[in-house]
This record gives sequence, C-alpha cells and structure tokens, in this order.
Amino acid sequence: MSFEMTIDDRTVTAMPGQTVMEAATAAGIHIPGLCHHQHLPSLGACRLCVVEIERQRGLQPACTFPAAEGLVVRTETPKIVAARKFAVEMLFSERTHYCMTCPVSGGAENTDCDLQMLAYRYGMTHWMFAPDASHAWKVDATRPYFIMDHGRCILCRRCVRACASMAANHTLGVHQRGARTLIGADDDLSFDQSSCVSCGSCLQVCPTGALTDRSSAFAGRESEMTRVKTICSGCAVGCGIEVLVRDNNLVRIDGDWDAPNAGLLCAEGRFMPTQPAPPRITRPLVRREGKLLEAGWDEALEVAADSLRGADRPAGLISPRMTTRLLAGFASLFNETLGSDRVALLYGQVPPMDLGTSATLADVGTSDCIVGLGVDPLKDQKVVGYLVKRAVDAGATLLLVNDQPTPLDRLAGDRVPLKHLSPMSASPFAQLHYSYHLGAGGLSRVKAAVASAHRPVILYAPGLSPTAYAGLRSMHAKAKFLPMVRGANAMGAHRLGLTARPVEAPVTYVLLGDDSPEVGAPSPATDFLIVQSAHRNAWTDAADVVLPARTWAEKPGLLMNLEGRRQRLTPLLKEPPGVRADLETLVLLSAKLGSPLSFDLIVEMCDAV
Amino acid sequence: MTSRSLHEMTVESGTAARLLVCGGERCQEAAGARVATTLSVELARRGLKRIEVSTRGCGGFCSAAPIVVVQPRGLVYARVRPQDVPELIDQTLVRDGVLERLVWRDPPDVQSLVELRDTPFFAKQHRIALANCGVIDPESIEEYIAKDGYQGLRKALVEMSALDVIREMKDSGLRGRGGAGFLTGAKWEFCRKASGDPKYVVCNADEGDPGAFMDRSILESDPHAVIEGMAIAGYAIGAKQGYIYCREEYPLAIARLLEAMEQAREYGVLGEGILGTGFSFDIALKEGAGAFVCGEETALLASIEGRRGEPRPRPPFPVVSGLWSQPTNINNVKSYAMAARILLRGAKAFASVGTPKSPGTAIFALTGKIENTGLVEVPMGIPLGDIVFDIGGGLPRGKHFKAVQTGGPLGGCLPATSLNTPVDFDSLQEAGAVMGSGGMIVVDDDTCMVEFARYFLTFAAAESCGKCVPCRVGGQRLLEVLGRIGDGQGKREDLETIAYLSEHMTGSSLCGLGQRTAGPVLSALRFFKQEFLTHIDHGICPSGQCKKLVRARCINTCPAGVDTPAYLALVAEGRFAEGLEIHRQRNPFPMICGRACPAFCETKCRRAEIDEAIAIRQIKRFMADHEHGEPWMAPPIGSPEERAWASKRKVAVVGAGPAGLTAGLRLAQMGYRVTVFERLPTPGGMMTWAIPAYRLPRELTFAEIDNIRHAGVEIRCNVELGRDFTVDSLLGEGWSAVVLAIGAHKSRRMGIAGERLAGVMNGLDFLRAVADDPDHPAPEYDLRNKRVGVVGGGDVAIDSARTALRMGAREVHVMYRRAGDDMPATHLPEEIEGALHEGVHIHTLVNPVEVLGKDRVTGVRLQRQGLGDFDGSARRKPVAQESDSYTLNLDALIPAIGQTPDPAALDAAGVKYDARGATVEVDESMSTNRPGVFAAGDAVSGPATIVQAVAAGNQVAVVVDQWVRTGQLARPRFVTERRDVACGHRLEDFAEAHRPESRRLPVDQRQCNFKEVELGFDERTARFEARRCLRCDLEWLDLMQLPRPTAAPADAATEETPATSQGGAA
Repeated sequence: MSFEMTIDDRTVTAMPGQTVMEAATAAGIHIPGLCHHQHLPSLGACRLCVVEIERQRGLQPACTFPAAEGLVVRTETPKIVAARKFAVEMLFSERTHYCMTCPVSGGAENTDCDLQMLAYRYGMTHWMFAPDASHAWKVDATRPYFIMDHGRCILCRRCVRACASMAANHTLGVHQRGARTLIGADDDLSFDQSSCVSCGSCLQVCPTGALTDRSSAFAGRESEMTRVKTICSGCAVGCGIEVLVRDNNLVRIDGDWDAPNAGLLCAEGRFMPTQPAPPRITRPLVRREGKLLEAGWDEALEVAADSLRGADRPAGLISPRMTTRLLAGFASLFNETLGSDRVALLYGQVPPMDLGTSATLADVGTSDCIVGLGVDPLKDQKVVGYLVKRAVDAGATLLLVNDQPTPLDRLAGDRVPLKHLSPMSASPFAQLHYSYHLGAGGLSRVKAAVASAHRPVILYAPGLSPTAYAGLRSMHAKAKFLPMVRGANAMGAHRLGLTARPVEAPVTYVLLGDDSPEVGAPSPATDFLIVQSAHRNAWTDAADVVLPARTWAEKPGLLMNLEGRRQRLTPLLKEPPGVRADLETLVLLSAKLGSPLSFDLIVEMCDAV
Repeated sequence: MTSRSLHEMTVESGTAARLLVCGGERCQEAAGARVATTLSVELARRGLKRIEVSTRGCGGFCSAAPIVVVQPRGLVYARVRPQDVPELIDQTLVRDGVLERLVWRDPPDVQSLVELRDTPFFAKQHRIALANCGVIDPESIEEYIAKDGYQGLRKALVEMSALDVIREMKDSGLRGRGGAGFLTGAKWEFCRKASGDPKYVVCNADEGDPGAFMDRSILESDPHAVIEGMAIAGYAIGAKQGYIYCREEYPLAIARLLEAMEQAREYGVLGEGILGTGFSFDIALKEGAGAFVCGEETALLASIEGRRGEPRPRPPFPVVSGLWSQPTNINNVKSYAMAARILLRGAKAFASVGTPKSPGTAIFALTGKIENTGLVEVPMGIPLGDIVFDIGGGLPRGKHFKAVQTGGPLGGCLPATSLNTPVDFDSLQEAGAVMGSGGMIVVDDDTCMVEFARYFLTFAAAESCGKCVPCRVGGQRLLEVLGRIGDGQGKREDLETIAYLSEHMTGSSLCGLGQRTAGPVLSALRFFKQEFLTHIDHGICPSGQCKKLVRARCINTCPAGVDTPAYLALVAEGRFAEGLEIHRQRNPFPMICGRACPAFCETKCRRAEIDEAIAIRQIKRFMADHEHGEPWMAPPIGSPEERAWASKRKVAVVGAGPAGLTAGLRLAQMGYRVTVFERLPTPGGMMTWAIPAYRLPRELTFAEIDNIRHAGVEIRCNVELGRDFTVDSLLGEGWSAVVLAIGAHKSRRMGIAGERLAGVMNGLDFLRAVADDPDHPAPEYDLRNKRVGVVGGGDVAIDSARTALRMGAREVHVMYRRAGDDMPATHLPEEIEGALHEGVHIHTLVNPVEVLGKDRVTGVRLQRQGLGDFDGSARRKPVAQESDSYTLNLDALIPAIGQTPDPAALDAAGVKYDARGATVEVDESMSTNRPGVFAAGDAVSGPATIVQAVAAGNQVAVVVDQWVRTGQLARPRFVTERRDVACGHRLEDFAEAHRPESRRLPVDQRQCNFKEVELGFDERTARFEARRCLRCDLEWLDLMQLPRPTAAPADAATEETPATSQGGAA
C-alpha cells in the first residue's frame, strides 16, 4: 500500500491518494499555502505551495499533485522562493492589504494572518507594485456577528469551499472573472438578504482579515490569548470548540477540527457565548415586602431551606444543560433529602433508545439515505442539519416524515405527512408531549428507503406514538438511529432517570444555571419560587429567592451528547466573586435542610451513567 | 466544358446545373445568404427550375467572398453582391457568356479563367482537414459519403482492432491541432490504458481566439468529419459517449452539427451497433457560454459538468480523470477531422506531408494587413513568408510588413527577420511564437507593437478566470505597465518589471492561459525593443497608435514634428504667413520640402482611411510659395538673458546641408554666433547638388538658405575639413562646440570588373556636375545621343536616369537587382512613374556583373536574379541565376547604388565611425567620441531625407546649447510651443470632397530642359483641400481633457461652397 518518495532529500512514506502536500505534512515538512486548508478540498489556486518535482515541467502545486512512488520533490529552492515571493507581492498589490489597520495583523512570530506571515517569511519589505489606493472595496457588515471586507480578500476561496463542503450551504460563490473576480453571496446579494446561515465556517478558514468576527476584531493577537478546547453546551450535538480566552473573557470560538463536528459549528454555538448577556447575578437575592433584595448566602439559603422544609413534596426543575454531576446532585436533593419525586427536566425529552444500532455524527455525514421522523435539525440541532445537507450533496436521498414544513424539505426526495394526534396535557410543557402517529403507508415508505440504501440513518424525535416506535424497531438491521433530543445533557439526565415532564407543587426550585427560560414562557405555577441562575431573566424576576450560578464556561463537568458520547467541559473563566460552584450550593442547602447530600452517592450515580 | 449554355442544357436535356454559394456563417452574416436567396428568387422568377442553388460551406477564401461557383462549368465569380444576380444569370446561364467583371483573376493579368485551386491563394495549400470545406454541401450526409466519408470509420470498425487504430494514429505522427501539439495517438493510448468505465470522448470546439475561425469553418462546412473522427476515437479508447463542446456564438455550427448527428444516426454511423458491428457510440452537444478559458481542457470539462468554467491543476490529466472523474480523451475539431482522413488514407500518406516532427498540415486563419484573408491549410514546414506573401498575396500596396502574430492572443509576434522560419510546432516556438490553434495576423508599420501587445494582453487579462494569483493579478499588473508605456509615462525599469512579471506568470500560473498571457508582450519586446524604448525615452509612438502620445498622426510621423493640422487650418482660412511661421518653427525649408519631401505625414493621414490622404505637401508648397519674397525673420528662442549669454559664444557647423543649416539656424535663434563651413562652392548640400532642378529649382533653395543667413548664420563656402581647418583648430580657436553635418557624399562602388573604365561615372558626381552647369557639362558628362545605363533603385538612381534623359541621352536603362515593388524609391512613386513616362527603361531582377569595354564602356553584362529567402526587410533576397546573363550595350554607365559619409573627412575630424557604412558613431545625446563634437544628419544616419536631416539639426542644436551652457549632455529633445488653431469651417461640409490631382508639366514639354515638372495647387484648391483635414489634433485635446481653441470669426468674404473644390486645380 504505502510507498516511498523523496522530499527535500529525505525519504518519506506516503499513501496512495495523498497529495505531495499531505505526504510532506505527514513527514513534518511544512509547505506554505494560502488557498490550501487541510480540512477543505484542494484548489491549487494561490501558487504558494509550488514545489519542484523532478521530471515535471516548471513548478507544480503540492496541494494537488498526487504523491507517487519515487517522486523527487524539493520544497524550498531559490526558484520556488522567488515564485512564492512573487505571488505574495501580487496579492499585496491587488487590494487593500494595509496590515497596520487590519484586525488580524500580528507580530512576526505568531500572526493571525497567513498572508502577513508569508510576507515576513519571504522577505517582502515593501510594495513592489503599489495597490490602487483610490479603489473602494466593498465591505459587507450586514450580518450581526461577522464582517466581510473585500479589500482584504485574496480570493483563495477557502470560504467558498467551506460554505459548500462544511455547512453544505452553497451561499458563497465566485462572481465575475479576471481582476474583477469577487466573492459573493447567492446572486450577488448582501449577506443579510442571502441564504447565509451565519455558521461562520467561512470565517474560521479565512486566512486574512477579509472575514472578521465582530467580537474578536481588534481584541488582540492570538499570541496574547489562550486557546482552550472544550465542548459547546448550546444543544445536544455537543460540538467540540476551541475558545480564545484573554483576561478572563471569551474572545472568539472556533470549531474544533479534531472533534466529530470537524470544525463545523452553528451560529449560536460559535457566536452567542461571546455576545453581551443579561446582567449577571453575583449575590443571592431574597424577596422582602415584594422586592428582591440582596442577601447573604447564609440568609438566602436559610429562607430557601425554610420554604422547602415546610412544603409537602416540593417540585424541582433543572435545565438539561447542567453537568451530569449537578443533575445527579439535584435529583438526589429531591429524592433523598426532600423525599420528593417531583423532580424533572425543564425540557429535553428523550425518545426510546432501543430501536437499533446508534448512529454517530459521522454516520450522518456519510450516509446514503437519511430518514427524518418529526425532526427539524436545522432548527434544533443545526450541525446535524448541515451534516444532512452534506450527505445530500454527496448523493444521499432524504426522506422526511413531519407534520409541518421545515427548511430541509426542499432537499427531501420524499416527504410523508405525520398525523398530528392530540396533546396529552395542557401544561406549559405541552409541546413536548405531542404524540405522532405514523401510518402503515408511511412506515412502508421508510422501510423501502432504508432497504435500498447501504448506510441508512434514521433521525427520530421524541413524542411519536408507540406504534411508530414499534415500526422503527422493525427496520432492517443496517439502519442506524440518532435520537434528536434537545438539551446539551438531556441524554445524561435520561441515564440518571430524569425526564422532562410537568411537575407542580406549592414550592418550586428551578436550577437554570446559565440556561434561560424560553421567551414568553410563564414562570412555574407555584406559591414560592426558588431560582438558581447565572443571569437575570423573567423567572428570577418572579422568584422569591434567587441564588447565583456558574456559566458553562466557568465549570468543569461532563455532558452526554445525542450520540451518547460523554464529553468533558473545561473551565475557561473564573467565576465572578460571590458566585459559588452550583453543586456546592446544593450541598450547603441540603445541610440547612438537615440531611447533607452524600458526595459518594452523587459520584456513584454519575458513574452509573 | 461544353460550349452550350447551361440554359440550353437544363431546358433540353434536363441536366441539372448548380450554383454553389459561400455558406459559412461569416458569409451568411455578410452577403452570402442574401446572394443565395436572390439567386433562388431570380431563378424561380425566370422559371429556371433545374438550376439548383446550394450553399457549399466555407472555402476559406474570405477576401474574395462571397464566391459563386457555377457548376459544371467551373466559373468562379468573386465578391458577388445581390444586385449582381440578374446580370450574372443573364450572362452565364441565359447566354453562354461570362460576366467578366466578377470573374476571379489572380494574378489580375491572367488571361484565361482560372480554377480556384490554381490561384496563388490555393496553389501552395494542401488541404486535408479542409478538403471538403467549400466543396460539399455540409447539410448532406450523402455528399460527405460520396467523398469517401465514414470510410475511415468503416475501415477501423471492420478491418482493425482498437489497438490497430491507435497504432495507425501513432504512425501518422499527428500532433494535437488545438495548439499544444501533443501526440494524438499517444493520448488515445493513455486513455485506453487508463482504468475506469465509462470513458468519454470530448471534442473541443470552443474556438475563442479573436480572428480564428477554422474550427467553426470545419463544423459548419464538414460536420461529419468531426463526428467520424470522434467515433473512431471512441472505438480506439473504448468509449461509448462523446461530447462536443461548442461555443454558443456559433449557432450555424451547432445547427449543422445537430443535423449531421441526426443524419448519422439515421445512416447507422452513430448510435447503437454502428455499421452493423457491436460498437455503439453517440455524441451529445454542449454549448459553451463564451468564456475563452473554457477552451482549456479542464475548464471545458468543468463547464460540461455544469460547474464554473475554471481550469484545475494537472495531473491528474483528463485521460486518467476527466469528465466526472472518468478517463476522458479531449481533442480539437481539426484533430478529429484529420483523424478521419488518416484512417481513410493511411498514416503514411499523412506523414508524407509536412516535416518529420510535425507531420501533416497546419491550418491558419490569415487576417490583418494582407491581401488574401481567409483560411489556409498548408504543409507543415512551409516558410512563414510563403504564407504571408505567396498565399496571402502580401500586404496591400504601400504598406510594409512589420510582424506576424501567430497563435492568437496567447501567441507571439515574429518580425521580418523570421519570415524564413518553417511553420511547424517546434520551429515557431524556437523563433519566439507558438503554433497555437492557428490565428495568423499580419501587421504593417501602422501598428504600434506596444499597443499591439497591450491589445492582446487586455484580452487575456479580461478572460483570466481569476482563480490563480499569477494570472489574475500578474496580468493586471502587466497591463498597467504596458498602459503606462503606451501613455508615455513609462520608465526604463518598466522593461525589467515586464520581464519579472512575465517570468513568474509563465512559471507559476495554473493553466496555459496564464502561462502564455505574457507571450505577445515578450515577443514584442524581444523583436521590437527599440519601439518600447522610443515610447519610454522620448514619449513618442513611432507608429502613431498610442493615442495619448499622438496629437495627430501626421505630426507624429513627421521626423521634424511639424504641426500639420495647425498650418492646414490656417491655410484654410487664408492665413498663409501664420501657417508658414508654424511650419518654420520646426522646419525652415517649407518651399524645399513642399517639393522634395516624401511626405511621411500623408502616409499616415487618417483621412486616407475614408478616401484619400490630405495633399499636405502640395498645400505646404502653395503656402510657402505664396509668401515667397517675404523675408523671414527667424524669431528668437529662449530668454533675452540666455541669448545675451550665448551671443558671446561661437559654434561651428561643418556642412551646409539641411542638417547643418537647421542646426545653425536654431543655435543662431538661441543667440549663438554660428559659422557653417561648406566644402562646395554653394550651400545646400544634397538639396542643391543632388536633387535635380526639375524637382527642386535651385533659386528656391537659395532663397530659403538666405533666410538662415538673415538669422545671423555665417556660411563660409569652399572651405574643407582637413584641408583648410580641422576640428582641433576650431576647438583651439575658441569655438565652444562643433557640429559635424557632412552628409553622405561618397558613392559606393559596385566592385565589379570594368568599373573604372571611361564613361563610368557615379550618380552623385553626375548630378553635381549637371547641377553646377546643366548647359555646359564637362565632356565626360555629355550624354547627348548616348545609351546610358543607371545601376540602382534609389532616389539617386532615378534622378540620374531622368537627368540623363534631359541631358540628351538617346536611351536610358535603369538596372535594379530586386523586384520592382522593392525599389527604395517607391516612397516617391511619382518619381518612378515620371521616369517611365519620360521613356526610361527599367530592368528589374538584374545585376551587373561586368562592365564591358576596352578604354571606354561599351556595355554591361547583366545577370538575371531570382527571388530566394526573405532578408531582414521582408523582401526576398535576389539570388543570382548563374547561367542566365545577357549584355546590354551602353555608352555610359552611372552606378548609383548608395552613398556613405566620406571616411577621409571623418578621419580628419578624428571621430569614431562605423567601418562598414562610414556613419559617425554617436551616443544618445548625438555626441561623438570627442567631447564638444556632435554629429547629425546623413553623416550619422546614412542617406536619408531632407526632413530627417532637419529633425536632426533641430535636435543637435538643443544638445549643443545644453553642452555649451552646462557641460552636460542632454536628451536631444527639441520642444516648441504648441499652437491650437480653431477649426473655421464645418468638417461635415467637406465629407464628400476628394483630393485634387496635382498638375504636372506634360511629358513633351520636359524634353532637354530642367523645368519644374510638378506645378502645384492654386490658392482656391489649396484652401479647399486644407479643409478636408479631420483635425485629429482637436480630438487629442479632448482626450487629454484640454480646452479646445475658440474659433476665430470666419471671414465671410472668402467663404465659398465646398463643391467647387472637387474640380481640382485644373
């Protein structure tokens, strides 16, 4: 299989299908490139990666040239250096590459701009061809999170390829030709008018300052920041992210190329955490004479404990974004300390998990037949939605079974209407409990689609009728199933036995953490409301006791995503003074209640998960 | 053919006759379709039902199009217009005659009717791919089959294995006609060997080169040849599906292809089970949207797949991974058409044509400044010059070959020195151009090579897909540099910048477009570097094309830069003295140049593109003559202080010819004390001593020289450099600088036996003797009743011949070694014409090899000359026909084969000179190797014209002034104030006016006298003629965003209707 070739007088081993660039990179030999990005299809356009290959005419781009047995490659001869310097000079002459005023400009050692780095590397000390300073290049700032400055664009088309191959969105394209070439959205629309979903894949791969995100622009060089890998807790997909942190602030979030999401993120995951949040709650609050007033921890916990103690089976609601340990602690507080079974998730219903083999995210992307049952991934699990679109781009068929239109419908080869039965209850969480019925005709169509495919994946939602699930259980064994749950750790909670269901009592304790109630959702019907939350919101405003909480960025812990994969959160920031660890708050509260939580028990519960 | 008329044949015997009309789309767009329609209508109206009109595809002979061939008589009518149709039918079909005026005759003097294939345009062609073009009806598969169509395919399928076919193709040596010249057979073999199924065959019919239309022509005129070739390729490589990628701008080609494919399916040569064999092959057609880059194979494939048409790097090559990543064979239209013929006639027959490394034929679309434009197919290896001059018929009369661009906008240009280059893939590349897909554009000296390169570059840069950096950005930067040079803003470093950009664009662009974008620029720079430098150093575009540098082409072309439009405008208003002042600003000899100037200005006049050039020289002559007798006081140049300073300095000028006198005049105007030293008894140089009085009366010359004396120039005659004074003596005696303007007075020798016999006199000596005293020539110059021979073809030769006649010679024979069209004197065609009128015999293509006689010349032995290779001036070299000579009996022989400066004088001056031509070596500042000693005029340039000498005189004065003032050498840039003159009349009123004939003395009144032959214009004629000027100078003001001058109030009294001007001056 593998074979040998020579790069810079070194014998290296390469595999069939590799390019010279890949073979060199694998051997630790760095070949520069601007249009090349290891996670994007090769283009061969910038001519920075040109190398000399014996018995080949002229210079050849390493990023597209197939590695082959016995090739003799040189990656840095005077001829190559001259050609690279020329390409850099050309790029600097083309538009407004004034590094002094660019948000991604950096020092010589470590810079955010690949172009600038290459200019240093190849000794470009001045403009050999001065650019036309009078030309005004378009800047599109119509999107909320990031900006496109065509003046800094080098037309490497990484963004175009990222848009097509990562989010499979195909918004970006190349317009015009020759020196008038421009990157454009759809049919030359401004981004806000276009089909752009602001997933930021383009931003993440842009090698220059052409695409800059508003929160990190001019916030310093990357060399002055720390880059930390962690997990996004925005939804159940649990994407791997890399977070740039500076001075206890989140500066920017990139997708983690090595995680199963392979760099891909959605707009919420990439941009929301760095957006301004509602005011932070740093002190406990207690309602006195109708007003919420700041109180000491001890006092607030005392008031909370008093009310819980006096209630018969108080109710507990917790956000499914919380770490497994916290979920276990919360469940234990109610089950053990308070003797109440009225403890549930705010949302995050999990459908039956016994339908067949579980699918992974990778399975979705490489599937040749995807069936969606009652799901709307482009709304609830966007990255899964993008993977579906990718699969469709690669030729997969898509069969959707749903009761209302979704953005995926236009890609679907077939669409089966799902019969809407009746809501089971009139609770505020009623929408979680719709029950759907999949008729025999619909089921046979799903079965037919699955049978004719090699790698079928079924995305299914909670809330289908038992007969529907029974039908899915009878699918061919090659079908893989992915439950489309909501809530970053709903799967973890499910393992702990916590489910999303309506619970009510005169005293209710809600652990929101950094989650927030849905806009307009009425606060729980109760006489006395305790809310533990990181930020002010409608429920904290309505509460009798408010306890501070940490955000996801401040705490360690485990989350289980919809594949059932346990992922670790890494603390990125230090919480503000006055804020305690959430589990500590639970422990202190249980102590006030006279029956301290057993740490061992919590650990045991977690391990069981 | 038969003597009966076609009309009789059709009526009596029912034999059908056919009229074949050009039917390519280019013709259809033009008159071809209308002629065909009119013919049909007219035939129907007359009831001539059995005469069929059919389109015949494109024969490629565009300059004669539309052609109507009358079959079976074989009559060829050219440039037929719809209104010619009734007469054509009357003469040819009703009567048994010939419509003489439309019959194609080439050369024009052939007596018999010619078959098209015997005309020079077709004689040197060898048609393989174009064999059927213009011969068969492209819409009829039967006609294709009748010409052995699909026999190649049958042979392949029935008699040969796929490997046999590939071997046959390899044996033929066919190289891809798309331009790159890769071996077609080898490509087929690679594709066959590549793993993958299905495989595809693709025909590249995205012909995008401006001016190239050979693919179009084949598709339109012989579509089945392409289909057959593709099917053969499909069989050879194992493909079942073919695609033709044709640009949508070729609707007729597309329509005919689609129809041909339909017919082919019907006849079982396309589709399932072709010709009853198990081989199936079909073709689909994909229309391209007109992007030039889609002619690049990978971009073409992307476009077929429905993606943006952009190339991708190779490898992998399409033969391995092409259309939808499957093995794909891509060839050009011509290659497939040739493949069908190769299978039919065999590899050997194909390889027997052309050169070993480039077998077969090359197809070119011949366009530009050439007589016979059109499509030509020639054997590979034919000299480039044969295509241009034999097939192409050379350049239109009066135009001089400058370069030929091959390979389209990504090719390169080749200069006159490359005309002997054999046309094949490798030789063209070696010479600096490329074969490309076959465009061939001939340009004359009206083309600026900077502008030419810029034109192609603009195209290539606009068509860059924008993917790779070197092409997208490099092309733009290159264009800017060229634009800068063309606008006169260039710097010397720009040439290095061009080299730098070109090197890297060529070296690291992704596809052929970027790699070859710089080609035209590089070749232009390689062969015409001087022209670039002239733009850069002097801000001058010698060809008059770079708009910002050229106020008007006449001014630009005039060596002295005389502001022609300004003085024409003043003459039109009757303001002769003002006009003359403008002329004298730059040329103090308007009366002389009004008679003896070759009028470079007129050769570039834009009016000539509409009707005829303005008669500038005649207007000038009238203007100057009108003021003759008015003394001219030359205006001062420079500030009073500067002139006061200069008045204390002396400058010496050696030689009182036009260069020396002009230099002296300008220096005097600047305030210097100038002395001109002249060896001969009177001043004027060649103006006085060489140009005969019948062309330039001496008293006029003296009158203009007197003006220079009035300006303060002292002229000392009969003093000779080396005898009476030396340069050292001048410099030693307080002269600040010396200008050597000694002219070229020494005649070249023929170097043959008998040259020193009595009766042999060189032309200049003869002319000088006659000029001195025509009435009493010394005995040796007494030519009364003698037979006189003159050797040479230049002005001195023709002047000598006509002078000899006037001196009473019985016969005068001019002997010239080249063809008559190549005579250097042709820039004054009326001189040769005059000589012929007066009875001079001109022998061309002869060379004297021996002067016969014992003590006196009795004759000359002449050797006939043939025409061989091209020399560096785009003329064919005379080649002695060793055994072919004859004797001409003569009493006197006047060799006039060229002149040089006198080396003895130059030795005396102590300056360096070129050993061969004895011309003084000067640097860019006109300075000789001796500090303070400058040189100008014929002494530097060799024999030239008066106006060139005047220009040199102007320039050297500037340099001398700088030198005397600062001790520094300066650019020889003679700047005068521009005067914009308003146009006093409506140009539209003169739109219909024509150039008047100039009057000449009747031949019978020219006998044995030196009366002026040319008689000039009268005032009315001159003033009307001046109003035909298009005033390019005013347009230039607009271009430069300068204000136009406001019109002076017209003098109503002198206003007359323009119509009277058409009568000329008679």
